[in-house]
Parts: sequence; C-alpha cells; structure tokens
Amino acid sequence: MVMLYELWPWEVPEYAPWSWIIAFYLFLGGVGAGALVTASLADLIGRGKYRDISKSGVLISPIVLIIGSILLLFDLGDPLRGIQIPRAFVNTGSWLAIGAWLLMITIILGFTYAYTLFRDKSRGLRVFLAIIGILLGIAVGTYTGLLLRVLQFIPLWHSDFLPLLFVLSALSTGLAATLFFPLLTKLTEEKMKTVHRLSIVDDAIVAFEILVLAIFIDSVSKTNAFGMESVAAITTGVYSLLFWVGVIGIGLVAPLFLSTMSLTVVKHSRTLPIIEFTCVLIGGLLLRLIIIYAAIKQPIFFPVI
Amino acid sequence: MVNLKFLLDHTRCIRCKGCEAACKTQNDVPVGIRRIRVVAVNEGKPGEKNVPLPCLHCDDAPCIKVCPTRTLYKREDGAVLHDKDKCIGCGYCLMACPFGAPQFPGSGPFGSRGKMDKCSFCVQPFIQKENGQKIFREPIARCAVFCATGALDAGDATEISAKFRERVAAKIQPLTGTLV
Repeated sequence: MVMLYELWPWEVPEYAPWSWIIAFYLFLGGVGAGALVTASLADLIGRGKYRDISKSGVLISPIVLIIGSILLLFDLGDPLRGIQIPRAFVNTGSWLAIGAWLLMITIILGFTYAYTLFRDKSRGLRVFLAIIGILLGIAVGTYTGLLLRVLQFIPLWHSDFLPLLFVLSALSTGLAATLFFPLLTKLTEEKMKTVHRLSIVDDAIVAFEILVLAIFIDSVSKTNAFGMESVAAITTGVYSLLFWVGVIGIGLVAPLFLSTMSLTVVKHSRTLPIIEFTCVLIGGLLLRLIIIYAAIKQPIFFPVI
Repeated sequence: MVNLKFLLDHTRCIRCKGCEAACKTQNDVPVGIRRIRVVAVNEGKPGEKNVPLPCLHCDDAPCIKVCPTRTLYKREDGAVLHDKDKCIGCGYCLMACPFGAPQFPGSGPFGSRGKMDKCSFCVQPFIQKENGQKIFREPIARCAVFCATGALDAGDATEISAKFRERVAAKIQPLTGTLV
C-alpha cells in the first residue's frame, strides 16, 4: 500500500478564536493564585509577623480572580449560561470545567480567609484555610497552563514545561502584587526587612523561571515545523521585540538587577522595590500575551492518493 | 456496528462548492457558519489542491474530550453531534479540532462569538419529538448526495474504506506498483 503524506499549509488566523482577553485572564488568574499562596505562606511561617502582607495578598487574590472571571465571561459566546457554573460545567474531564470549579472555590476560600484574617479568628482555623489556600493557589496556577497544554495540535502549548512556567510566573507575579500595597503604606524598618526577604524569594523564582523558559522554548523548537515557526515568531519574528525587551528584559532580568540593587546599594528606598514588582507584573502579562498570540495550529496529515 | 465516516478525495474535487450550498439549504445554517468548507491548498500555485472539509466525526474526537459542558457527544452510530442549548461558546472545541470543523457565527469578545455550530451528518436539525420521544433520524449527508464528482462520500466506515481502496487500486500500475 502506497501512502505518501503531505503537509497542508492552512491559513493560521482561522484558528485563533482566543485573543488578548484570554491572555489577560491567564495573567490575572496567575496573580490571584500566587497572591493566595504568598498570603497563606506568610501567615503560616510568619506567626503574625507578616500580618500586613497576608492581609494584602488575601484581599488581592479573590478580587483579581473575580476580575479575571468577568473577563472570561465576556469572552464566552453565551455569558448568561456560562455563569451558571454547577449547571453548565458538567464534563469533569475538561480542564476548562475543572478550572471554572477551581476558580469558584478559590474565590470563596479567598473571601473566607480574608474574613478570618481581618476579624482575628482562631489560629487553628486560619492554619487550615492557609493550607487549603496554598493547595488551591498552586492548582489554579497549574490549571492555567494545563488548559493550554491539553490542546495537542498546537505545538507551542502542548509542552510539558508550559504548566511549570505558568506556575512559576503565577507565584512570582502573585508575590509582586502582594508586596505592592504594603510598600505604598507607611514603611517601618521591620516591614522593609520583610520586603527584602521576600524579594529574595521572588529572585529565586524568577531565576528558575528563566531556566524553565529557556527549556520550554528549546523543547518547542524541537517538536515540528509549526513549533519551530512559533518559536521563530517569538525569538526573531514579529514578537521578538516584546519577548526580548518585554519578557526577558523587563520581566526577568530587570527585577533581578533591581532586587540586587535594593539589597546592597540603596537599602531604604521604597521606589526600587515598587519598580521591581511593576516590572515582574508587566513581564508576566507580556509572557501570556506572547504565548497566546504566537500559537500556530498544526494542520493534520492527509493521505495522498 | 455502524461507524459513520466521510470520504474526502482531493484528486476529484473541483471546488464547485455544491456541497456548501447543499448543506446550507438543507440545514438552514445561520449566516457566517460553514458546516462544510472547500479548502484550497496552494491556491493559484502549481500543485493546487481542493478538499471539502466537513466535521470528520473522529472515533477519538478531541472536541468531546475538551468540551466543558458536554455539548458535544457521540451517537451510537459514530456521528459527533452537538446540543446547542448547552453550549456556552468558549471556543475550546475549535482550538482542539485539527480540522477547524466547529464554527462560530462571530469572533471577538463580549458575547459576539455566539454558540458553536458544526456538521451533524444531516441528522440534527430534524430531531423531532413524537409522543415525547426523539426520533432516530437516518443519517444521509446531503453534501455527499449532491457532490457531482464523487470527491465527497459518506456512509459506514467499512463501505467507505472499501471504496477508497478501490480508487487507490485503480491508480496503481500493475507492473511497477507505483501510483499513476
């Protein structure tokens, strides 16, 4: 039996129903997840020392997740049906359905946790909520990656490193968003020390993220012609400026540099950490935008008679 | 066991788009939706090929796996159908489908995308209820009936693959074993 195969170079734009709105949602979901993890960890480890940071994170998390969910609803073709989560999302094998349930639970948990923190409820309850918060935060961060990873005909997204990259980005952007508001209020020596300590954690995550991003790009470029085309668009093509300057420069290298500066040279400045965390947030958003827009659908192989 | 499939033959398709017209008149398809499309590859260049492209009703359909609301389901006879009442219009099925079969009337945010619509082997728009029970409608794909050149054929998988084998066998030269 003679079976030759040939590629079908179909047009790409036909297959891009997801756009900036999904990228914004993925970013906000990551920030919400990371903020919840940061707040829970600060509450667990700090034993009341990092109360400001916990309060900030636990307020940011559900609010940001709600904004993200509203964006997601607006992207649907039938928002009024999509909002009825228990009725609509019944296929538990689909990551979109799992994600909708996770989002709903995480938002509810975030508000419950915020209530216990602000009203100074018993520590046992808070520890319980914090542990669930960490698990849910990591789950939401991973889900934003897995949502894209299961689409097997898009080589850029069908990569094992994408969920890891998104989790790391979620943790780092969530930490940045959490530390943003305590920095704007009155600064004490104690708080500055905490910020410095946490920005070292952020540096570690960012450094790991650089590594994972490099492995991700490399692994995608080795999949097939369409993966290579996506990578070419990111590294040398239309998105190269956004990628090298935005994601790598502003999002990953600048925070490391600014953090080193604020730890060694200008110790008591509040401007440097604020710029650093803004850079992390911008980098996270640009990363999601580039990954959504640079995706190319791989046409299927057809037998040639 | 029936397993419904389409046979697409790009060596025969002349891009008359009769299948698209037949589908639209038969199923009252909304504006902007093409349940079957004739795709031109390398248009205007040497090696140009046309292929009619409906939903191929995959055995292991990726759209059914990713659909969060169980809008898409597989009928016993292999047809992948959709229940439009359940659809929320997320676009996940279109991202998962390698053929671009799920169609949306619009694009862009704020509810303008609308609900998904796809080829249903000409069984779906006629699900009538008689005495409270759904009628099992015979799947007769009108596009295949209308196709003038035999580029498109629909039916049971064994039947279709036998036809495909016949066509390929007719093109093999007896001595060398190569294709004409």
